[in-house]
Amino acid sequence: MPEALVGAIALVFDWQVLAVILMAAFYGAFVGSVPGLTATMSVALLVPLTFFMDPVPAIAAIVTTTATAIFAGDIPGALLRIPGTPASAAYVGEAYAMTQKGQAELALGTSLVTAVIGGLIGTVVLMLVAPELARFAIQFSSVEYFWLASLGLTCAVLISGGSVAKSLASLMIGLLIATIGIDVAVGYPRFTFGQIELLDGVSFIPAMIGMFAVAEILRNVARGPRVGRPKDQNLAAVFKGLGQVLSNFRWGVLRGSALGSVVGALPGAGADIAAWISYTLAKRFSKTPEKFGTGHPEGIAEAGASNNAAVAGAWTPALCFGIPGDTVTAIAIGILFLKGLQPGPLVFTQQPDLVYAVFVAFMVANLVLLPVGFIAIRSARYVLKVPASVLMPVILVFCMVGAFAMTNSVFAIWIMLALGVLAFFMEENGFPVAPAILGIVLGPMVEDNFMVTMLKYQGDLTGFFDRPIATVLGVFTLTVWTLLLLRYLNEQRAHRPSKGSLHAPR
Amino acid sequence: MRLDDGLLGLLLTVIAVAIVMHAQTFPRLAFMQFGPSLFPTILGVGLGGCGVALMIQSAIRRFAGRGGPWIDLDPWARSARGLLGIALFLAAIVVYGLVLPRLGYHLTTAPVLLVLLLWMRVRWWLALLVALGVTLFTHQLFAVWLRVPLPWGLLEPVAW
Repeated sequence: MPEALVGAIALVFDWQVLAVILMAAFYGAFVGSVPGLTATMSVALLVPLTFFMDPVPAIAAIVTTTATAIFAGDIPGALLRIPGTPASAAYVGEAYAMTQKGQAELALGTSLVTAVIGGLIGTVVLMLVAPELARFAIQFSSVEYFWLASLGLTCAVLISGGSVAKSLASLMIGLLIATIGIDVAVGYPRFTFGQIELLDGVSFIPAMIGMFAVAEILRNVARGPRVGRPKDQNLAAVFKGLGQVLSNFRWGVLRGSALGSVVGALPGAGADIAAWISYTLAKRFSKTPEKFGTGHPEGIAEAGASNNAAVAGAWTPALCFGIPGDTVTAIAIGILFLKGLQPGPLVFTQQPDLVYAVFVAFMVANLVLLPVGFIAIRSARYVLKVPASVLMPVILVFCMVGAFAMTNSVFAIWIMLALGVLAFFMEENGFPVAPAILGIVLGPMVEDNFMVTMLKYQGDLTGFFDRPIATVLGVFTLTVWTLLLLRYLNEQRAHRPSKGSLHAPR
Repeated sequence: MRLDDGLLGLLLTVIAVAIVMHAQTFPRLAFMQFGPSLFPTILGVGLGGCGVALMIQSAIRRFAGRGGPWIDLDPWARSARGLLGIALFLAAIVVYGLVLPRLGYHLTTAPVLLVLLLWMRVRWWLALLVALGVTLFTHQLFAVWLRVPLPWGLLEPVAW
C-alpha cells in the first residue's frame, strides 16, 4: 500500500496533472458561482475534454471541479440569495441574512474553510473505508453484484425525493435506455430500429450532456434567467473572525463532515441532501436554535462541511463496487469505462496506483480549494455580472461540439437532443432525473449479473439467495422495496399532492 | 407543461406495453426458457406498473375532489417568448446537426450562436464578438489541441 501511495503521489504531482487541477479549480469555481449551472452540469461539460486525457488527470479534473463548484455555489447564495448549486440551497437563507447584517465576509469565509475541512475529512474517511470494503467485495460473484446494484438503484429511488411511482418510473426509463444495443446473452440488437450507431448502445457522454446541460439550458430559456445584482459588500477580509466561529462550532463541523461522508456514499444521495440533513441537525443540537435563520454561522459551518464531505463520500461505492454514489460519480464511472477501466474491487489489487491517485487528487483538490475559493470570493462581484443571456447559447455550443467530439458523428448530437428533451420533460413533471442516470450507468451491470446468475442456476430463482452475503443483500433490497410500497400507499392515504422532486440534480 | 398524473400514467403504460410486445419478438436461447427479451420485459412490466400506480393515484385524488387540470401550463408555456425560445433552441440543435457536415464547423457554429445570442437580447456587437470568439476558441480547443476532426465543409480550401 505505501508503494501505491508513493506511486500515486508521483502520478498526481506531475506538472501537467497539477496544471489540470488548477484549471479545473477555476473552472469549477466559475460554474458553481453562476446560478443555474450545477456541479453535475459542470462535470458533464468537462467530460469531452477528459475523454482525451489519461485516467489520472481526467479523474483529478472531475474531482477538483466538483469540490470547487460545490463550494462556489455558496457565493451567489450569500450575495444574491440564489444558490449557485442545489447543494447550497439548505443554508442560502442563513447566508443571505448574514450578508444583510454586513457579514458577507464571515459567511463566505466560514463556508470556504468548512468546505476545505469537510472535503479533507471526507477524503480521509474514503481512504480508510474504501480498501477495507474492496477487500470484502473481492469475494463477490454475479449474485452479490446483482443485489448490490439493485440495492443501490432502489436506494436512489427511495432518496430521490419525488413520489415513489415517478422515481421508480425514472429508474425504469434509465434501465430501459441501457438495454438499447447488442444484448449480452446472444448478441441480438435490441431497440436499435436498424440504426447502426445504436448497436453499441446509447453513447454515454452525449446522453449525460443532454440530460444535464441541455435540459438545464432549456429550463433557463423557458423561465428566463434569474437575475439579481449583488449588494456592494466588502469582500476583502474573508478570514477575519473565522477562528472564533470554527472553535465555537468545531463539533458541528466534525459532525457535518462525518455525516456528509456517509450520506454521500448512499447511491442517489449527494451533497444537496447531506447539506439539508446537516443544517437540520445543527439546529436541533444547537445551544441557540433561536438564532437560526437570523444570520447565524453555526448551520453554515456544519452544512458547508457536510456537502463537501459528501463529494468524497460518493466515491466510496464507486471505487469499491463500481456503483456510483451520485450523479457526478456516475459520469466519472462512465469515463473510466470508456478508458477500459472497470471500477470495482479488482482495481484495488490490479491498479492500486489509480485508486490512490484518486485519494491524492482529492487531497490536492481540497487544498487548492482554499486559495482558489478565496480568489473566487474576491472576484464574485465580476463573475456574477456575466449575463446568462450570453452564457446559455455559448454553453449550448459547447454541448454540441462536446457531443460530436465523442463519436465524430452527428448522431451524438441527436442522442444529446433526445435525452435533453426527455430530461426536461421529466423534471417539468416531477420525475427526478438522478434515478434515470444511475439506471443508464448501472443498467448493463445489473443485466449482465442477472443473466449470468439466471444461466448459472438455469433459471432457478432460489439461486439468487444461494450464498450468504447475497441472501443478506437480497433481503435488504426486498426490505427497501417493501418500504417503497408502503410509502406509495402512504402517499395515497395522505392525499399528498405529488409535488415532484425536491432535489434537482446537482 | 405539466401533465396530470393520470395522463402521465397512461403515457407510461402505453410505452411499457409497446416495449413488452416488441421484446417478445426477440429470439430465445435454444436451450433456455429465456433470452434477450427477459430483462427488457421485466423493466417494461415495472414501467407499466408505475404507470398504473400513477393512474390510481390520480383517480383517488379526483375521487376526493382534489383533482387539478389535466394539463397545466406554466407561465412560460403561455407566453409566446417562452415557447418560441424553447422552439428556437431545439431548432438550433437540429439545424446544427443537419448542417454541420455540409457547411463545416465555422460556418455552422458562428451563425447559430449569433442567432441565439440575438434572441437572448444580447447587444449586436457583443453577440457578434462572442459568436466569432467562441467559434475560433472551440475550434482551437477541440480541433487543434484535442485533435477532433471537426468538419471544414465549404472552408476546406482555406483550412488551416
